[in-house]
Amino acid sequence: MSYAELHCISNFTFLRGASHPEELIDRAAELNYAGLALTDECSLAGIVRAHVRAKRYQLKLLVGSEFRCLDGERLVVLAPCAASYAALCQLISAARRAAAKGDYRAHRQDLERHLGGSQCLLLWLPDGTEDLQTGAWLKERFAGRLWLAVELLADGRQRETYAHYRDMAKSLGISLVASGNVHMHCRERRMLQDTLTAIRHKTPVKELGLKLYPNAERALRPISELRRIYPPQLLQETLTILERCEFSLSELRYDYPSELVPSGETATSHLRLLTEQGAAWRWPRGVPDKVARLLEHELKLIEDLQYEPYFLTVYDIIKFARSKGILCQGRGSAANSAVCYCLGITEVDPARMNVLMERFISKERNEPPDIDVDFEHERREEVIQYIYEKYSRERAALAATVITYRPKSAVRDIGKALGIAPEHTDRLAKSLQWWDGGAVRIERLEEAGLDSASSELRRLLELVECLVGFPRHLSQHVGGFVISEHPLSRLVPIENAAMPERTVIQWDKNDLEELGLLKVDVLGLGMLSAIRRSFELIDGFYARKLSLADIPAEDPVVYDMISKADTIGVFQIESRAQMAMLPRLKPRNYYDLVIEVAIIRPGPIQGDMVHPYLRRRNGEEAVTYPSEEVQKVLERTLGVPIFQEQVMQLAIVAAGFTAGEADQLRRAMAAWRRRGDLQFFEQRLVQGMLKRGYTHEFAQRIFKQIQGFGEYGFPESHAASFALLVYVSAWIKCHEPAVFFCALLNSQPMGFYAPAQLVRAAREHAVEVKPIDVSRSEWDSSLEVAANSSPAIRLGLRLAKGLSKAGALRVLAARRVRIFDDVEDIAQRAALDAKDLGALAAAGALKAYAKNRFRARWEVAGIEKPRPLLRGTRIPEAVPMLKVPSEGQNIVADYRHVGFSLGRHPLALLREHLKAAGIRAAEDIKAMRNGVHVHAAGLVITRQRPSSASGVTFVTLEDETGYLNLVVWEQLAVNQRRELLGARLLGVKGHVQQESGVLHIIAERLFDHSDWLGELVTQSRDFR
Amino acid sequence: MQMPQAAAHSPGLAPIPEAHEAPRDKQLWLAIQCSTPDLDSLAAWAKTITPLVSLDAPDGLLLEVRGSLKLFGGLTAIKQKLSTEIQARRLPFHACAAPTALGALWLSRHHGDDVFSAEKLASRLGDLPIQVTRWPESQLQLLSDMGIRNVRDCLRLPRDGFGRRLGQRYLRDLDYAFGKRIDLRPCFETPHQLIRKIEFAEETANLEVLRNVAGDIVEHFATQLRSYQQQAQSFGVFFHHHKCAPTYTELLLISPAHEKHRILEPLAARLERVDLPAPVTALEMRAEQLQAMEIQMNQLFQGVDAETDSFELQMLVERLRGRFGESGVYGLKLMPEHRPELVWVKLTDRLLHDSSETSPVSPWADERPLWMLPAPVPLDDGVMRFQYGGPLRFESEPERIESGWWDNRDIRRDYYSALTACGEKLWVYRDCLTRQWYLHGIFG
Repeated sequence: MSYAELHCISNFTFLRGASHPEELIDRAAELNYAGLALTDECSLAGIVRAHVRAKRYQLKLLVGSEFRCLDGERLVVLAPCAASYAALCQLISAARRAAAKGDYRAHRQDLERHLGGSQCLLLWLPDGTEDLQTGAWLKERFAGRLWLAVELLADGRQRETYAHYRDMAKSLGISLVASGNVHMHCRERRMLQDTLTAIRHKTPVKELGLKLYPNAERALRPISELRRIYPPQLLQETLTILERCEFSLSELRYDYPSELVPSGETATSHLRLLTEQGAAWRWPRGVPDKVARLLEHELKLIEDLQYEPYFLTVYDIIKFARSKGILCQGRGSAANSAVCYCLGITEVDPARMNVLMERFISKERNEPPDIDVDFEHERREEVIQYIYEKYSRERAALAATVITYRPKSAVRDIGKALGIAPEHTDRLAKSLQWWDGGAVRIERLEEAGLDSASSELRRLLELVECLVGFPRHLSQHVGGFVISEHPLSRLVPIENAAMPERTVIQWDKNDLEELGLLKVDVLGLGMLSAIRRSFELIDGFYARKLSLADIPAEDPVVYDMISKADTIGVFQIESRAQMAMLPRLKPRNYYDLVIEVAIIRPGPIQGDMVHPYLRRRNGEEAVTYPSEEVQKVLERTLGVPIFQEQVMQLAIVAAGFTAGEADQLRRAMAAWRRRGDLQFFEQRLVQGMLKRGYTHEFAQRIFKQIQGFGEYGFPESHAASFALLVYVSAWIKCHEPAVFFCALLNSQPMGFYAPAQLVRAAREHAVEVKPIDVSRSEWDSSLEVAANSSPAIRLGLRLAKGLSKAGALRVLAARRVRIFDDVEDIAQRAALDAKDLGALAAAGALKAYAKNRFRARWEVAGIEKPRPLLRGTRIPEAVPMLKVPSEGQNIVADYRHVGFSLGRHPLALLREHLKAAGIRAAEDIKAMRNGVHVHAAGLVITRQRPSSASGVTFVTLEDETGYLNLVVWEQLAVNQRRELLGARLLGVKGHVQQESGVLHIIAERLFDHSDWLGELVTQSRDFR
Repeated sequence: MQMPQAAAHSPGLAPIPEAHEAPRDKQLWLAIQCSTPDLDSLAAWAKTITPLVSLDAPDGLLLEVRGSLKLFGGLTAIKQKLSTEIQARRLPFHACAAPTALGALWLSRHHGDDVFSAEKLASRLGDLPIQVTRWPESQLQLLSDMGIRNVRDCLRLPRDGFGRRLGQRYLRDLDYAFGKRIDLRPCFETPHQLIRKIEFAEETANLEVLRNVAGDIVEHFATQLRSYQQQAQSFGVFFHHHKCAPTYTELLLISPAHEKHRILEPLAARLERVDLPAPVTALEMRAEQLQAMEIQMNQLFQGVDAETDSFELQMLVERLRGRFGESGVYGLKLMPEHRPELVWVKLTDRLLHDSSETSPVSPWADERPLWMLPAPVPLDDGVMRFQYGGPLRFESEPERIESGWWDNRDIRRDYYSALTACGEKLWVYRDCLTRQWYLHGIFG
């Protein structure tokens, strides 16, 4: 006899379930269960993952949820049909919305209200103390679909319990069914389950006593074992229930919102109308034939797939943003269509690209189109509020992001659960670096000065490894909106987010994608803020209005600048890896930029696509294709797959995958690092290619490339939109550097570089940068007319650390009334407090009124709150004997209070000292040949450890003559971790590696010279 | 004049009385920098050098040593004595002397040398970086922003201007340090522990003598405790010997006390049991875990008998414990724990007070045997045959217990109650890993 488990929670019942949904499904299939119900407590957050996994085994998955009512009843609710699924979703939503984030409140009456009219099946889980009244109450309302679940968990009283329940069921006239109250997929998870209990109770395990389960019976148990425990009719009853449940998540149907179509129109006719209007706007002198044909083709495709409401929804959001002057741009599979260009969703002119919409929307794949819209990062909230208002909270909600345990949080929580001294776990957690990834290695213990032989600490590591990746709570996705025609709560449960008035659905973006639900990503992009500011600055300085569409295309001077890797601040291509690539790739047109954006990604790097592409581009390697079909797919990238779409296309044309299978492959690619199930496709891929006459070597190479791509492959559809912003930002930098850097400074924090590097780059572009000055600066950095009548940057008050915005605005208002007499006048008229005054003085912004910053600090510190009687009187004071700040002291103060200095670079002051130590300047090193040994040093400005670079850390150093790029191999990084991570002034001995004008120093030994800097405060930006 | 620190009003700290204060130009302060959680005990010890000891938490100790110079033979001798004591505690430290308390403290924080004259003090303090003042970070940052690096830079600023910007407190600190203002410091009083050591003129092993001396010490403690309005629960007794390490015994009362007879009676019983390896040169006692005295109200109408009984019982237990040791007399407590062997624990502390405290126990605890074996006994056929006359008959279904991985005493067992051929009811289990059977308890 078989068995179906009807009461099983996963780790989406946070801090109780001790297995992933996938693990439960795998195990249930392995044990030959006839089915499994995933019944997380008042949650469906794990159900899609289980659904996807169960399809693989064709295991029947039941959708359900466990509840503990405030009146004490415990129940499992199962959804046998689509209508009852909607009722379950609504019950969960109601219970979740009635409580604070992470909690729920359900009364008996809620069960009655939401489930009364439905077909939901109920398993009653008495805990032995209930009276029959509860049962009778349930029976009265849920007759014919109520069972009493018997859970025998080896407590020594199985017979007694069973007899008791049998009597109860008999007197109520309901049936008994077996269930297992499953918390974990296998018994070995007992240790983790106990630990989760400890974390939940905020009590160390050893003090939990009877709050722990007495044994590991709450695992999926082999059927043979269950047969020994339960009478056969109880096992049989599980199958009866399984039979009655016919609902599968695959049945979910979803309707796009329809109100965007004016009456009298259909969605199709309305979209056509808007497209035609847009085309007339884009091509005032008539739409070119080629485009007209393309539009016709696309509209037909959209009509066939009934995607009009989706395009209309995105169009509506963009229209709102435009009306508010919020810069935005779409990207993604459908965004680069001619239709989207006409609708203004993107600025990527189809004439500039060989756009084939099928590449982005496929009739056969039948997956929803994907458009992400980037908005200025500081104004995205306005757009979100608009969507809520327009569609109501019933019909629009943000997707969830599942926040999972990371090593640091796992170490801290498990440390507490094991009763390990917090200072120990704290030391260990702090020693974990952003690059250490999932597992915590034993060496970290030693490094944190802990005893690696301690069994307690080893247990900690073992548990950490298990817990990392477990969901902790649901947070809101950065901007993934689900919008529906009908209330969403019938489709998926909705719960409260941490932010007041915010709700999230219980599914994340992968879940939505799996089920084919429409999602619009409303994202924030710093560069759009910077570009909008640039346009405003240009308008202010030259009285010239620009928009994204007005930037002259394909300007060769811009490409010259890009090819020299002069790209600090430019969107996407400013990282050092990108900068190392530019002189080799030498982009000359828009499509080169599309490639540049996509090629410097972990995927292509690990799939070893960069070098073959470069060789072919430089004519050093013949461009060949194994077949005509492959040529069609890879021609635009010289035979090397660079984009995600190409990989999927290859699988279709070379290995005979269907479009649907190719899509599965893409998802598997995204997840294989986590779940490692790409092998399943390897065989199919290789055999498919061999069958079609490709060589084994070619097949293996393609598979290796796919594997390398992993989750980091970049779609062409996104690269195309990004490349446009790359070009626009590069154009502004090239032609209006003062505007560009001024806008970037005002949009911080964003991008790869700190203000210090941006200011330096501006000055290298011959832009005059003037210091913060309370008599001239605005809040933002602004443009002033320089001596040569070109624009100069005046640093804004916002750069003075510790100065409040409100205080600064009062200063500006007072200054507009009348210029200031002295420091006291500023303080009194702008009503500044001591903190704001101190910030101004320390930042050197009071130079116009005090001799130097020491004197300014003294003066502002002496200003007292004005008292009504003493207004206007001044306390006579002796002149302080203060020193005049030295150059070094000024630089130190600049770095501390502004973050950078307009004076000399700190290392210029140390140069003699550095020289004496045999340390060379960056400029000298540039002229060196390959292989020369050097000794260099500089301020650490970035450290980067890309996951694609197999353990290599890239460090950028800065001195007064330029930048140096270090390559630190993994072994050295391990041996000299302290220097690598701790040093602000890092010394390095190593050898020069020079290729196509790109210079690296391969580090052999590192030195921490930070003590030479004295009190200088510097900060590195660290990236993954 | 204002008190320099609010701490002066804390319990246990009293200002140094005017009468004790030497003319300030005659003062010599020895500042000790020493990081130890046990600064109090060091301060208590320091009182053996001078009564004028002041704490500067968390790591500073100040001793006014002018009056002690003669007694101990000069500053070097005092520092030597100090060094011996602190080194015995294995602590790193730095000590230096100066005519002002704060001056000495600042110098000691910078590991400075002794200074005896006011002129020298001014010059040496001037060179110190402002960080030695340990003023709040905000004040130090403010000074640093004005380009001020050392104490001398501060003195170059206009006095009133400095006070207005930094705060009068910091101006006063400068005055204290340079001796321009009298620095009244709270005097340390031992609040947490009492120590008394009596050295014998000649070594002795005579119990009678020891008992008398102990009686004196207890009497002294009782007086002190009364004057502090405190009581103690634990007493450490050290019997110092000529050539070997001291013999130590600890007396733990079941409730705190301050009365001589409550302490002395169990102590006398204890002394009789102490095994001394050598004659005693000195007897030292420490009263620990001092706590505020609880005032017992005499009840007018009821409970007098119960009260008396309880007191009698306490005295009985204490007498028994004095005789058999703390571990010889204990209480029992049920613990909320799945592992059967850990369900009962012995209580040695506060054993009479726990009767009212109940903790949740396993719901099946009442079905477990009253007599648990100290350790499970393996059951094999031989044992079964010879001891129980044949195989067992199981009476219950298995109760599976899997618990305890966190303290390396993980168990995985199936428990059963079973009847022997002779009708005896046993509690047995099978280890899930080894499949071996064990006897763990016998039902009454």
